[in-house]
Amino acid sequence: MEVIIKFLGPLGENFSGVDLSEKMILNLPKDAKVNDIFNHFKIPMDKEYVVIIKNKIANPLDFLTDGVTATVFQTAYGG
Amino acid sequence: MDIIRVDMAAKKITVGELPSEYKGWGGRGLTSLMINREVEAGCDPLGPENKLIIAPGSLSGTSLVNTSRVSIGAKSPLTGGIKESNAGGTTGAVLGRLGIACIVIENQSSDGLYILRIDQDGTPELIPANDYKGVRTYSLVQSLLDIYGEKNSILCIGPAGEFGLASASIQATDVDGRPCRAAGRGGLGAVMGSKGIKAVVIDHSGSAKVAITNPQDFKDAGKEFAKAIQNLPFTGKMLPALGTAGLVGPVNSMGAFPNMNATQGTMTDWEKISGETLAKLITERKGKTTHLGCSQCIIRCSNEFVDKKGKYVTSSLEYETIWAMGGMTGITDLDIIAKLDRLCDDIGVDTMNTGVAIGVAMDAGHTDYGNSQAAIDMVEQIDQGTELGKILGNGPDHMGKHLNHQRVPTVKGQSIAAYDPRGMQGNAVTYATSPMGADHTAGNLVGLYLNGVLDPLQTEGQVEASRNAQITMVLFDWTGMCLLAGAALNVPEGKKAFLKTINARFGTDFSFDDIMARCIQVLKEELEFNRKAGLTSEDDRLPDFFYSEPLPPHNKVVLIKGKEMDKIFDF
Repeated sequence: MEVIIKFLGPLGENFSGVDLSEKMILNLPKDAKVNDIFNHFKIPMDKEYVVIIKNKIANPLDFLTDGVTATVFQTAYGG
Repeated sequence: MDIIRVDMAAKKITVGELPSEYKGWGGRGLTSLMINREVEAGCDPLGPENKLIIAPGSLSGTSLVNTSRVSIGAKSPLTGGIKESNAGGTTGAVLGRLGIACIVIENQSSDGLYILRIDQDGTPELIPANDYKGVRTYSLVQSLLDIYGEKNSILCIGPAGEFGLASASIQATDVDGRPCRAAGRGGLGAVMGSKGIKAVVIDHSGSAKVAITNPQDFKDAGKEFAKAIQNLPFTGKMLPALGTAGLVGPVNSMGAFPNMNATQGTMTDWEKISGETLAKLITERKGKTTHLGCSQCIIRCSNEFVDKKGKYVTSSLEYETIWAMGGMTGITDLDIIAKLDRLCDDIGVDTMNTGVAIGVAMDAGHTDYGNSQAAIDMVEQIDQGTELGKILGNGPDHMGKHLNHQRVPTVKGQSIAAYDPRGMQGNAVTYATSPMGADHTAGNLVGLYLNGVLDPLQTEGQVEASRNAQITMVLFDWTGMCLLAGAALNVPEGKKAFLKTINARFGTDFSFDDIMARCIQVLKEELEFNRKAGLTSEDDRLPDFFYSEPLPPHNKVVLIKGKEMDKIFDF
């Protein structure tokens, strides 16, 4: 299935394959989960990373669905 | 620590030891206790009985990083209740280093404006300043630095404060000597103007007088705390790269970015005003995407926005201003938003209250959403003293009444912030119940939501979380700690180190529970003042539309009822 990934902020810098300027389309297996996004880019999972899908905060073990857009960024605490 | 009392009627200044009932307090702890105990709660906020209290944090002036906040307290002409507003820059650190616990400005001048000057030894004097009547803050500060030298920190008001407008700010100079930091909320600039003080100018070339009880422990704990800040991705990576503007994307993606006067939770063109776009624009123009704005800051979330020719426009262009002047108005041109930020700093008004008031005007049909020139013209009218300018300068409630418009997103007259309460149910509780009016810095739960600790769209746990956040925020405001650096308290080593610095500074042996108990004491005194001032639980409510108008994309309303919120401070 295809999943659209958009990184926000500096998360993803220094990891190969991450394009911070554009949305990326990933081809993932049908049963891929949210944490597979990080596995794909070899970004070590950190509890400070957030994935938003359909305007809701996703859990690492949530299944992804075909065509969905995932926004990925570091946790913010205010501003 | 010294207390400086300035009687503006008699033009008399007394300097003495801080009374024992206030010892150990600083920042908001000191301002709130003093306002509750010394100000008649029913007084006119712009009258002689009100007091303006300027207090550095209890850790300000030490070597601890990110402790340069200054708290300013009074009865607010905007909310009618107690207010503490704080600003970054250099003033907090300078006052702390001079051993000044607070400056208390009392009564009113009958012969115009004055500068309160504090020299390198901490000695104060009043200097007539009627020549500065009507002068905007950038010109004022430049003139004062030319006279007194660059090694001075300045708090000042612009024309809005002189006019007594309820959104008037007190501007504070940053490390570069620009009046671009603000104690923006609550109209304290009007209180300062009512006292007859145009500026406070503090010389920071003298020696430090801060006493640390256990200096080695303080130094060691300070290093640990700094490490915790640097290791947290939010403070170590995101903020230095994008500043607080980096929140536009995340909050928008959550569907909680109130825009077009809080009629929507996601903005179609959010990417035009995102932190990423801002950083790219500043870089292309050779401005500064990361910048030291406040003394001893190791985060450097500030930026310097420049125009197409590379000329300085404003600093720092923050998330809340981008939201208020961009999201709420539909303006998606960062040059215009930066110009509006500069104008507000120069005239001395709160960018948030002013942007939201413009959004209300647009929603009411006074002008179209996205009309940049109209927005600029409206803000300029504040300085011109026109009828519309006064209405705008007095905030969103006044604008709504003037235009007979009901969708006005304020609590106690103060606008909400850049987190819609329908998309963050716990922030609804904070906005409604904080003694300060709708105030995100009083207890923002966005970190809990993004960390998956709480669901932002459900009611469970929100009241308790808001209460705990509001208690914790008192700690930052009391100590002079920047709330962004305070994110390090979310990691055990950061929390432990911060507690150690407090105990090393004062020679105490407080547990974190002891500290929280003292924070609760501050909140109790603030709530007590508000009740004495006539505020009731009916004032601790969001406007009706938040309960009846579902916010897209989640289509939720505020779910937590007033009676549930009323239980928040059942200490």
